[in-house]
Amino acid sequence: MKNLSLRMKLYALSGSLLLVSLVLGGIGYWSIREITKDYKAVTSGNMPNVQTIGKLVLGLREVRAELLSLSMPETAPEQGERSLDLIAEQRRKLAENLKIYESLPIGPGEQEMIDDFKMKLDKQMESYDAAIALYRKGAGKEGPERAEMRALLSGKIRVAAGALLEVAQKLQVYQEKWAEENVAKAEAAASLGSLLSILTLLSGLLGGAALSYLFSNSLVKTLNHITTAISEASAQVSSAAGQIASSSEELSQAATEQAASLEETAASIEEMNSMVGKNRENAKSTAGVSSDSEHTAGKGREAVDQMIASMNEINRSNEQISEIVKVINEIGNKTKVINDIVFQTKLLSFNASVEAARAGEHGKGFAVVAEEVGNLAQMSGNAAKEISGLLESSIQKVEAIVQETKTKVESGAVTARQCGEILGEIVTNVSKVAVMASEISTASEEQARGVQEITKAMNQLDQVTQTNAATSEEAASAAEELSAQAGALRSLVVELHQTVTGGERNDASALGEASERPKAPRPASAPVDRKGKVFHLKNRSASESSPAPAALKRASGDSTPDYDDPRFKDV
Amino acid sequence: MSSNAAARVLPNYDAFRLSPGDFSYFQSAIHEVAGIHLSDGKIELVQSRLRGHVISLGYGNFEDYRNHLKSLPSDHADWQEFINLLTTNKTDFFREAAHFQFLKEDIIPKWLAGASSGTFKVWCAASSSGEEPYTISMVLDSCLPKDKTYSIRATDIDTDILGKARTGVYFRSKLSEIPVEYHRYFDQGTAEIRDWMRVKPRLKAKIVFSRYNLNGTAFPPEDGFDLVFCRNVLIYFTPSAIEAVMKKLYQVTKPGGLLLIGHSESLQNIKTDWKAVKPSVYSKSFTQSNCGSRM
Repeated sequence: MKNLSLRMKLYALSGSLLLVSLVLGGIGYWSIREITKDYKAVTSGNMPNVQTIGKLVLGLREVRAELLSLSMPETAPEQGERSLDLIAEQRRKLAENLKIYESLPIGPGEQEMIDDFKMKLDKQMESYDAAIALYRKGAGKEGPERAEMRALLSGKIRVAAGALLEVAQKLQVYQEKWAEENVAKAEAAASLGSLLSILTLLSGLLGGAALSYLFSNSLVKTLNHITTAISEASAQVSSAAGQIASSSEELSQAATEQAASLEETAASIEEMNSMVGKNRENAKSTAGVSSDSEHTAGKGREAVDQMIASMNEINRSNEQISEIVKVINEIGNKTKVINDIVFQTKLLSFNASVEAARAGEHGKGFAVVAEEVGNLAQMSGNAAKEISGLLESSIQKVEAIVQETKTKVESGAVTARQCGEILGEIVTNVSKVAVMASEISTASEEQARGVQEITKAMNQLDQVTQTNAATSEEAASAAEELSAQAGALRSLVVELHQTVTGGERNDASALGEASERPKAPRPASAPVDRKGKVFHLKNRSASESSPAPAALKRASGDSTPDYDDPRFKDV
Repeated sequence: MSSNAAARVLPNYDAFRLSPGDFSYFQSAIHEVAGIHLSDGKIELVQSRLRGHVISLGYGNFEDYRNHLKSLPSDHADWQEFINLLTTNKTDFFREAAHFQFLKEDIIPKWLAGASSGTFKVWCAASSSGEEPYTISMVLDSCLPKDKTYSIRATDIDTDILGKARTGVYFRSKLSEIPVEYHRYFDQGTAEIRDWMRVKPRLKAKIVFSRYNLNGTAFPPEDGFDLVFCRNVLIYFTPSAIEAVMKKLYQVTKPGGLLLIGHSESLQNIKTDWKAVKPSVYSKSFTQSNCGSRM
């Protein structure tokens, strides 16, 4: 039994029931056909026969009655003619009815009676013809013919009529008996059919009931097993769907956050890109400026060199100034000569004035000249003194200046040399700066390219992340849908279980309960684990089944606790 | 009976492909209303950010949504939702921590040395989900003496994210971003809400949240700020927009007040009165120069 498929079982069950109805139908058909046949024999054989016999008997009586009226003395010829017509009519009917009778089924031993009846009828007909001939002989008038006719009628014809009636009655009895037999046969067929029907029905009922019991038992068992299995599976699907929904929501949330982060980073990098660009420009212009500076510093160095040369010139000039001191000394020496001349002039003027005084009156004018010469000499002497004083201080000053200039030129030369050295350093440094600036410029350019690459990568990442965010959103909503479908499936399973078990609420709720605490997937339902494409079901604890925080974030409106929630504690 | 199983129908995502024409409309629209510059490569971003909203409004494609937006006045809620969706809200507690160290070790000591008022006024000009103003609140609470106080104005263009910031409730996992010495500024959730934490009421009370569009025509909600945080928002603006924003921030900052911008941001190419103090830190000079006189 166990090995039979559900289809085979149903086929067997309905087949057995079909067989029973088929047999019942066969029996019914057979018995009804038998009964019909028997009754048909009665209705279309016996009964018309009996009727026909009656008609024959009646016809014979009719003919005899007409013949009797023909034989009566008071019968008028016109009336006689009508009777003759009626007789002819009745005889024709008799022949017809006899034909009818003969066309109907004929039973065993009946033919002899029919033959007997026919033979007697033929004889009677001959007698009728004889009587009619007598009537015609008497020409419708009372006479011996009519008396002979009456004698024939009350004699031979009457006897023959009695014999015919007897045979007819025999036939009638025969037919009635035959009809009774047929009825009895029909009744027997009917009771046999009934018996067979009842027997078949009973055995069909018993067998059907047994089969139904067996099959429905095993079917219910199987269905129960299936609904329990489906219920467990649907509970697991429901739980998995819930988990997928929550994971998807979490994923979606994470992706959205990631997308926002990335967007911000992308914007920052774009900003950095522009800053790097600016740096590059600045470095470039720095390189330009520093090369200008290098040039300028070089010029400065040249100027310092020129200055050093000028200083040396000054030194040489100083030496020339020393020569001037010599000249001044020479002037001093020459002034001494003047002084000597002044002294001699003075002496000469004194001598002249002495000579003039001696000359008296004549020397008066000469004395004046001599005095004037003396005065001039005095003046020259004074001037010469002043000149020598001036010369002396000049020499001192010039010597001091020469000394000072010498020192200053010496220190100036040192400073200038230092300047030259510093400028040299500046030139070196500026050229270094120029090199560095161009290095910065190059580096910035590379950086800019790098940032551009990053920007490109970020943009790609951005696209992917946006797509991911969108896709995960889709997945989340699909998972939600899946979860809803799983719920619907569960209620369908409960409904199915109720249908199978006849709406036993307890069982149904037990199913529901089982679905809330799904068992670990059994090996039987292992196909879901194949290829690891489907989430493994975990036995979730109460805490695990509460949605993960991130999952709640998007739907923050209803899941973020109120600020004034008393469950917030100062820890 | 089984019909309820298939009651919900998944949206046809394939119909939601953003055409270049629709994209360029959204691109210029968001620039016009929020000053946000979206480069041509952001088509995927716009598509993925708007799609859910467009579906929830019941439109079958972006074009219908675009026509819908076009027909609305600019102060309609759907425009605000459009802005909310296209703004990027990325923030953390103690993001770019150097600024908070600088606040504690440099700005506040200097302010205390020359303080003219008892309240240190801060504007957080792009507060996102609130982590930044709460961080400022924590730092100021920890370093101001008892006789001094502070106030924080936190603004953002995105009303959704502003609502989130107002709640002051965060995932406990965010605690990892916060130095341990500041953990005392949070109340921890228990039982069912143990994944959550909230900022202490004392810190929250110091912050006023309001919507403000840096690129709008309205004047800032307050003035006389000692310090302005405008970090990681300029990266979304065009240079001309940044110039206008800088002018506004300058106007509402006290002389000697400071501006902090994101570390990847720079005012290098921007014509502004702000003086660079150090990278990403700018100051308003004490001598009131005529704004824009150098232009």
